[in-house]
Amino acid sequence: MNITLDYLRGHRSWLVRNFRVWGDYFSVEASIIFTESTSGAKRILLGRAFLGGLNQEVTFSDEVRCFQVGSENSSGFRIAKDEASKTGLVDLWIVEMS
Amino acid sequence: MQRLIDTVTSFYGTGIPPQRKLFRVKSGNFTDRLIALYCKDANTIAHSWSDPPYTSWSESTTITNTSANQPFSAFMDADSNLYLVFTAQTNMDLEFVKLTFSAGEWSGGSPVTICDQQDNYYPVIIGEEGGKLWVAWSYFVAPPDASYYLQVKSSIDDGLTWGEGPNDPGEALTSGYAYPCYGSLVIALNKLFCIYTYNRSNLAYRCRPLTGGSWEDEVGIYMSSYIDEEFSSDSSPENRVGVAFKAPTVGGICFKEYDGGGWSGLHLVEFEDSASPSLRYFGVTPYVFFTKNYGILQDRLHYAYKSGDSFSSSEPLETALGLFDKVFCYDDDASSKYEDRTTEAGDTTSADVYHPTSGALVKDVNDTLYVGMEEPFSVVHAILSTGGTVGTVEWHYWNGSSWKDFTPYSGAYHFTGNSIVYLWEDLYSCPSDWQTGSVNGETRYWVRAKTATPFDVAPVGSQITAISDADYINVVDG
Repeated sequence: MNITLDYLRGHRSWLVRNFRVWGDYFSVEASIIFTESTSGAKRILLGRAFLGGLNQEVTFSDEVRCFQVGSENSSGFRIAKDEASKTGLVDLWIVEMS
Repeated sequence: MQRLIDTVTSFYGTGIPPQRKLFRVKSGNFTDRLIALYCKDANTIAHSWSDPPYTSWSESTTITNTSANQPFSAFMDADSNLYLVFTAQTNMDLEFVKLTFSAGEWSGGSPVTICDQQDNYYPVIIGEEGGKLWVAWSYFVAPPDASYYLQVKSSIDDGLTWGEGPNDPGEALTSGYAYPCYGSLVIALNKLFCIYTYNRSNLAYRCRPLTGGSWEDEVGIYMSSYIDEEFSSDSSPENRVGVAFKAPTVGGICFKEYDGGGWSGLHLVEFEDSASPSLRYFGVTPYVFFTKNYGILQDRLHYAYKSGDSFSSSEPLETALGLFDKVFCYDDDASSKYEDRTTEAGDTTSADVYHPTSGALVKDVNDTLYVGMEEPFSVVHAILSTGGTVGTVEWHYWNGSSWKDFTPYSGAYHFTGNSIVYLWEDLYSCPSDWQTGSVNGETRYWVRAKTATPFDVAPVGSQITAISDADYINVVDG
């Protein structure tokens, strides 16, 4: 899988109106290594956790209702809503890639 | 979540609290790559790296196989190069090696001897913005002196030469004491701070301007018996210097902070039995990580952070590695087959985890121990008052439609004695088909140990938890 190529071909970006944000800015994701002692060899582990506040995770599949279809051209682009959405009211965010 | 990086046979693994072993690449094509350094065996220091989301780690790469079985420390510069200091095997010299970062990989140069006099232990290293390197370490002078000193030494040529050469022991910041000194180095307020303990009980510091000059006189920070290596320091973007330390006279973990004008009062971070403090500022907020003891060889990762004028209540870092939500002893011959022993399994009272009919954790065929949590877990830590003989159990988890048997990752275990049973390699490795199910009306992720062969002497439990024995915490730098 070529992640960079997929990214360049992706072209999708989106905004969601009235999206409620409750995550705390000071919530941090810490990375920790430590040693676990056992009766035999010791174990070296990495621990990761969000700490210190309310952490808000956004699942793309839950929040994406409207999206660009295919690639844009010099005059415009196609846009669609998913089948579950009754309305397609969104904020439009245009990103110039190059 | 927790991910196994490697298994090792060294004594210290990830080392003592004042030292640093985990680093993050902060810029460039490999931004956020983590590199972990650790003692692989009695003579080998190795590293392994990983990219987000850090579930896959590189094969370990040997940095040196000439290390003593002693803890070491490292520093990462702005270009992601690593500078290591360690004790050499046999002669106990103090050694240095630079790992140059290029194209996403770290490659080592030839070791340089910092000090070949006497015996040298517990080094730490830091670099000034201009490239000057400093090392501090515990320096043991042989009898008749038989004393430990906290020494410092510097290099202005990227570690090629240190002070006047290997036979120069550097500058002593302390007098000689019968017990080891431990140091840490922090840069803040345009000064280099060396924070250290000596004589087992004194926590103090000396500092010097980065522009040069001599070390200022020692200033005491705290006195408590047996602080030893149980402290950690860091600096904040606001130019504060923090120190977290274990103070046995208080009972837990404490914190003090210096703002350039004076030291704060003593903050109690955790008052219960705790160890291995590791302090890091995330933004301007000091976070203290440590292990909290829950029973025999059950030390769980906790953290707390400063909120306003005091510290938050400490929280476990990982909820899946704690006390079980439910523990049932099932006796197939009893009129009341399920016995809820959740409370008894969580406390340290001896010989109280058993079914009242059998008087045992499990005894006859089909007797079963059930342990459950609201999320998948990876450890069953059994502390027994009586070890079982002859009998065997089969381990199962619920896959949504049936109990699926498995052999624990750490090997077969039949309640013969105290043991940390690793069900799977780590939390990332829980079976993908493990599902919640109902046992005695309680819906949880369940694992059960079901008796297949009856016991002659039936095991009796004192404590059954999902807590392992964690130590030597290192939090990522920056």
